[in-house]
Amino acid sequence: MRKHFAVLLAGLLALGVAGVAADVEISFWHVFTEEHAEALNELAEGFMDENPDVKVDLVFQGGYGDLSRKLFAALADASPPTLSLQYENWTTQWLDALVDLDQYVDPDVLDDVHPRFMQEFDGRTVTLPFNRSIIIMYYRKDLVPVPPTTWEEFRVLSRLLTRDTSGDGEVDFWGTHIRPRSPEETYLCYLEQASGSILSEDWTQVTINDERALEAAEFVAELSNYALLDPGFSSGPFGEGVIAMFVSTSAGMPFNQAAAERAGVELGFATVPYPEDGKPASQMMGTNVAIFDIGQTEEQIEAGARFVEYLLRKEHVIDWAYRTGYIPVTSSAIDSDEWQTIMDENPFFAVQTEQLVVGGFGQLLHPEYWDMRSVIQDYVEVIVLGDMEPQEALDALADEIEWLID
Amino acid sequence: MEQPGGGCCPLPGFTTMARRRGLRNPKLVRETGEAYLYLLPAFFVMSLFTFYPFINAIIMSFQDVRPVAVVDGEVIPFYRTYVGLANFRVLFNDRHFIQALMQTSIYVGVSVPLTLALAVLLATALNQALRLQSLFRLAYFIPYITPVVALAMVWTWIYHDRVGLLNYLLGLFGVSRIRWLNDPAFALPAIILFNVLRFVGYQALILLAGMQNIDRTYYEAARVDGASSAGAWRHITLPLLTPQLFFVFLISLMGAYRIFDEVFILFAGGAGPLGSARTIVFYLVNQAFDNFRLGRAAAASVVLFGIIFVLALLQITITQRRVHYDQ
Repeated sequence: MRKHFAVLLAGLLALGVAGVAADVEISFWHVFTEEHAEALNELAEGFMDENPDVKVDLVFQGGYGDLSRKLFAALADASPPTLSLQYENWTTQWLDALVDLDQYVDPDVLDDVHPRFMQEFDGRTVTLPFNRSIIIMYYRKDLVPVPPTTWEEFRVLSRLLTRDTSGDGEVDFWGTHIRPRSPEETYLCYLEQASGSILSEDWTQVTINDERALEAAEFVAELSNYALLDPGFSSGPFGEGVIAMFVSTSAGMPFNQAAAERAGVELGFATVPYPEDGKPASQMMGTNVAIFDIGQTEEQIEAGARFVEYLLRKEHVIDWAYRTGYIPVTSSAIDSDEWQTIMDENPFFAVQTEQLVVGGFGQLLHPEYWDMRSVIQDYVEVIVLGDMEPQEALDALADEIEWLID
Repeated sequence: MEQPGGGCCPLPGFTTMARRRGLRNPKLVRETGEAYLYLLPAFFVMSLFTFYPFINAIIMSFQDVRPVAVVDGEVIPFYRTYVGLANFRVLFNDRHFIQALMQTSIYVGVSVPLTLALAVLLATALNQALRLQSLFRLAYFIPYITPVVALAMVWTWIYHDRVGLLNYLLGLFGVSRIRWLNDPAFALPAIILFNVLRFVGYQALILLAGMQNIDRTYYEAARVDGASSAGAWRHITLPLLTPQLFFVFLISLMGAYRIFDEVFILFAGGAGPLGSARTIVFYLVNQAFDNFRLGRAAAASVVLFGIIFVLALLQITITQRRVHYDQ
């Protein structure tokens, strides 16, 4: 009888433990596949080992476009996940549905986030960086022994490299490649480098057609003369061996590396060239993580914050960055000896980190940035294709942005 | 005379006559009830996926829709509030929408008549040479049944300005390289060419079937009266083909206004250089599912519906007078 009682007690205890294990369940919507998904999985498992009361449910949602649509639909149903990746211009759309992270996340963790990544939405801290990349320059080491560091060098080198190699009268090799309707980020890099901006600091004036913006637009217009203008990613023509340099996001590194192998050339990395009297600025890409308020219990929000703290712990930041190619997002990770060793061994990590530290800047956090992006792309395209004079295009662009913010 | 585009028999209990008769006839009442019972699943599915979204889109076109809003200190997800005609005002002030409207109209105005004209010629040619007809039928049907996404992927390579087949072929005739998908002047023509070739075979086959249904005795009588073959084509084939021409024209017109997939694939998710391939549905999808402006997108869909509705009405009234039915 006593034996039976012991078995029963053990069973009840086990049930109790199981009950504790399933205490809080939080979901995290992401877009990662293959090695990236594996790395995230391991992070989540490590977190659950440390926090047996929390179950992290990682949910792959497809590409970024799919993720944004699913988040929108989930919000409409008041059932968003606890945590999700998101771009800044999504965050501005559902700011009121997000948790103020400074109320839940340890202040030391917040202080450790690299200042380049700290963003405030309406004075609130609602996101923290996770998988961030940055625009850098890629080049062919055989044709570009020393990468250009200034606009002037970039322009001259591109001109010298653009030529007709087959002698049929048509240019078939280009110094660089520009996607005419590229995401606006590359142009915004040049704009920021020339100390220009889309709007004045208080967002009341449109400044995208002032003389600093013109400087950037004229540079892009001139560079376009020595660039292959092709809508696809640069890895395409780079793999075909028809371009020498290009400016693109560091997140594309695996594709660009594969392209270099296809072309049988060695791939080099450098920071983006900038004007001699300008700033070494570069736009940061990739997404942040945020916690939703709607549809979550206090325990879920608290567990979500604990998971974010875990992700931002020095060793995890380094591990994630090393395995995925994203930039480490905390100062403790960037300044660590481990990361220093990684940078010494791999120039890609070194260049990307340097680019962040010297001039990483984020998206404009205006709620109308969705539409602004689209019109900026339109007019950058006009400038690149040479269909409008830079000043004329910028003035038209400024008018449209004014219409948007009114 | 059968109504153009009309279905076969009226539903049980559909006409007043039947209803009046049916009320007195228990057998008919039972049969009618049974018929509605069979229709119920389809009606349920259509209500959910067609009627409800249709009505909801109209309502939404008068609303500002936000993913979330704070009203009186309360957080409300999917906040909808009536804004009158504001969405339509914004729409008609939006350069992108006007551009989409114009370009879609140009696309429809060029591609629909062009495809139909070519299809008539092709059907006439096929009608003469019946020997290889099954081969042609297969050849012309393949582009129609191939998913548009797969076709568009192939065409992105055909149109590639450096390694594309089209520029290679044109190069043989001394035509210099055209940036088909990268030049604002060629983006819309590229889509027109793509879709003309995609639909011409299918339309030709429908017309061919119509041509083969024309009674031979008309042609024999015409020949006895000394008509030339061109004359017979003009005065016998064409008039008696009007039901098919009408059907094909109406269907392709409505389809053409809804063009989206091919633009999305050919221009890698963009609207083409300088938005030169932006169509109404592209604008709508972009506003609704990329920019989350559901109210504005719904307004665009209402405008699109209005255009197609008016065109269909116009076409029915005009062509009804000119459609000849050989019955």
